[in-house]
Amino acid sequence: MKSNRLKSYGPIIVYLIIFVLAAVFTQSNYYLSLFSQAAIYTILAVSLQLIFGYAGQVSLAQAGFFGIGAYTSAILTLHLDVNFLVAFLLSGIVAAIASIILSPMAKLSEIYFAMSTFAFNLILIIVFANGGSWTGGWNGLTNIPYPNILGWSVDSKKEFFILSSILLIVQYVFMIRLTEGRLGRNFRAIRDNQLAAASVGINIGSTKTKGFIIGCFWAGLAGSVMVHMYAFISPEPFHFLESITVILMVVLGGLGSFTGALLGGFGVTFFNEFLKEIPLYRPIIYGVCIVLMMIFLPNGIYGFLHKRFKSGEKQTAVARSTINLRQFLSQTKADDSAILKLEHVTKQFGGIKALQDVSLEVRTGEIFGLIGPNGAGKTTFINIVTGLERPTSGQVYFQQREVTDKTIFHLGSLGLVRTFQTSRLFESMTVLENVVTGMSCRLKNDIGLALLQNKKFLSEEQYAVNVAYQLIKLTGLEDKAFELCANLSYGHRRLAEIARALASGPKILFLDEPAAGLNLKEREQLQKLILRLRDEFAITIFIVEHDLNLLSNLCDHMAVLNFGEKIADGSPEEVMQNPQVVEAYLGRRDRKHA
Amino acid sequence: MYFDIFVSGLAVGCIYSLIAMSFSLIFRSSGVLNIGTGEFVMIGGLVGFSLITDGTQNFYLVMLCTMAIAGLVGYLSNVLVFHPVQKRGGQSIHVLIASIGIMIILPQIGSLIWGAEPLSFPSSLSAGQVQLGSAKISAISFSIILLSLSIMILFQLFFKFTRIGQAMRAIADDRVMSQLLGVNHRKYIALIFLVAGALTGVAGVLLGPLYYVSYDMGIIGIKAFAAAVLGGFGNIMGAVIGGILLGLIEAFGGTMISSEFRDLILYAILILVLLIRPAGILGIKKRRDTA
Repeated sequence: MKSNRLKSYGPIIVYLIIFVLAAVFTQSNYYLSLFSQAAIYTILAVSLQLIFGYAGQVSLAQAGFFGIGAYTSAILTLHLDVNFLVAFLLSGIVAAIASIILSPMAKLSEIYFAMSTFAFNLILIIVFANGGSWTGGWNGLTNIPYPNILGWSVDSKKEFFILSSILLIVQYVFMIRLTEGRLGRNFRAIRDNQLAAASVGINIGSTKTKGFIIGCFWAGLAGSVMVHMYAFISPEPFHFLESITVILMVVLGGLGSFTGALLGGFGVTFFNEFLKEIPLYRPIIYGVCIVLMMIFLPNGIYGFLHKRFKSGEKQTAVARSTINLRQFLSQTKADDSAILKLEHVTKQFGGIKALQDVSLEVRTGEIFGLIGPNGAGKTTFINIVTGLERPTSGQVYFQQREVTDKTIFHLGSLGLVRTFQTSRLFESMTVLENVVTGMSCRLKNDIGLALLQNKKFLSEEQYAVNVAYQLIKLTGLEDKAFELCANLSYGHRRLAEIARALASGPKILFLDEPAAGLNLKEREQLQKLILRLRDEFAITIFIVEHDLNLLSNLCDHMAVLNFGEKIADGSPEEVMQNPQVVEAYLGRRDRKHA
Repeated sequence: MYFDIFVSGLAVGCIYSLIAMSFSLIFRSSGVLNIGTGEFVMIGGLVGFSLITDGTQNFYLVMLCTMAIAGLVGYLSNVLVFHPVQKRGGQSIHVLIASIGIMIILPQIGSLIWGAEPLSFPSSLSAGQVQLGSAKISAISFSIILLSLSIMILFQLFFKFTRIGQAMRAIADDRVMSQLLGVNHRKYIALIFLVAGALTGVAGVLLGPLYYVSYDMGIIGIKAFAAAVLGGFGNIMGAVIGGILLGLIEAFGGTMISSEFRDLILYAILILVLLIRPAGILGIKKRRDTA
């Protein structure tokens, strides 16, 4: 735990030392002003890192929100004589409120988000430039008063350097803490694989929105400090090209690492100063850097190092804990009631009927197998039941509640969890982290607790890690628990995915062709695991397969799909003897040649 | 009065349509959103300016040459940027960032070659009026409408009836399936970038006589993107409709409020459409949204 701490806070401690040295020894106003500027832009970069590197949204309006904060603070202190501290806080809050306008975009794909933030930044510039006497138009406002913080009058370059550095340090610690708990894992999970994140019950839209609003809040605060430092404000520093500079800081430093943002923020600001002599070539150099980074190191320098050095790191603390998995996983083995019921479900794609009037009942605590030849509609079926697609007509009931129109994350949090045909793992995380992420909807800690990091938070996190380790042990992957998912073999990936699905505490677990591509030994292992899940924990299992042998050994109940229609339903023996099934699998015996 | 506004709005709208088509074409076929698309308009406009002021009298010849050069730039953008990013496993987010690189490189190259001052096309091009029934309309608007509509029709015919065009449509419809059926994916994507570059390049030349050309005119790209989204992003017909609609909104909106806020309307439309109906007017069903 301690080494982790050092790793998270190391960079900011280094900064703190440099900051103290600089504050004591530097007398040059030029350098102090450059340092303050770098600190402010680094705050922007760190806040964008949260939005972009963590929550996976490309915001092209970071400079715009910076501007909202700056103008808010300028207008409040200049026109309305508001105290600096109040104006400072309000500028963050106003920026956060403004970001709520765009937050519904979080549900759309990242390109729409990027373009709408781009448009938003352009709108802001027009508003700033045409705000009349309030904003001073293109000429801007001058004589913005120096801040007075509880008697400390900040009016020299050195004091501004101290102020901006303190803000940066506070923000850095804020971000590190924020992303250490459940929320941080959810961010990374969404960035790595959105669909998989939704399948374990993570609410994509609201998680992304949280990241965006918090990021914009900090951008607003940074704006406030900047405007008081220069005592002058005009629309230029908030142009979308500045937003791109902030993106450059994040991209060069490395996506998904606050250390990277810190390096990027300072690096680019100093480099900018260095290139002041040749302003015309600056954008070209930056553009080429961005393109080269995306080609050769798309996840940044940090991502590259992370992949190289993270694997192999062992942690033994979790192995010793004993946690009763039964308590965590077990479902009440109730009566014979139907846990899942489909009524007359039809799905049409254009002229093709992928599913036709399918009705099914899965009873609590059984292993249900759905088979069918390729193209029979099995994947469409599982997509509809798990909320990835909507049926054209018909209803789906889960525990007597209609869930036809529920989305995948909602169903995931209700206890209806799936794995995918080609396993979707969070590649940049270890197996253990993947499984802990799967517990998202079972944990409670959010922004508040993550920032406090009190006893409740720590014990919940420890509990999560312990449960996750036991789940990994259950699936037989304990040797690989600290391995990065990107380095796992095919069979291990499938098991890791099942462990992650189990972590969300499923009532019914959907396995989409779990045995595909496994060797014989792995198949046996899987078979044992599935039986154990039913017998020990009473989890209902729904398997989609086209391997008849595997299913007939496992299932309590089977159904067969062919060309979108259910042609058989019953115990494995009944189904295997059904002439229609034999026909679908082996073909009709032609009478003439018989 | 209103007829005048209508015609000039239609003219600008047609130009938006051309650029929006390029956005949609590239996105549908290769999954790339090129934020830098507007910069190809800039290249087209400035190249066109150079050709005209160098004494090329024939405007059609200028258009063709510009299309060729802008097409080449589009092709190079794929070869040098998008293809390498995608080949090395970059996802749509990485492609998007790479296209931001294009968006800041190209204007700067433009300003190094043509300078930072806005340049006007010779006035002989933009003067003159056409008698249309009882109304007189500006000749340049009239020819922009005619030219861009015929370009759009030509491209539609190209997509419908030539083998290359059909292959491109197949890729745009279903990338994986077309690949399975033996369409040489890489070759046609490269061609699509070329065609899309040519479309935006010609938009730049047509825009020149209406306003002026300069290294920073690429910002028009976001308006064209708004048009594409308004019509339904990824839908070629939607791009045409969205472009024309947006041109008209801009023209009529500009008469009602001060010109500083005219651009604001278009940007706000983009945000509103995405908030209210992200699928646009003619939305295609296949969206890449989860959750």
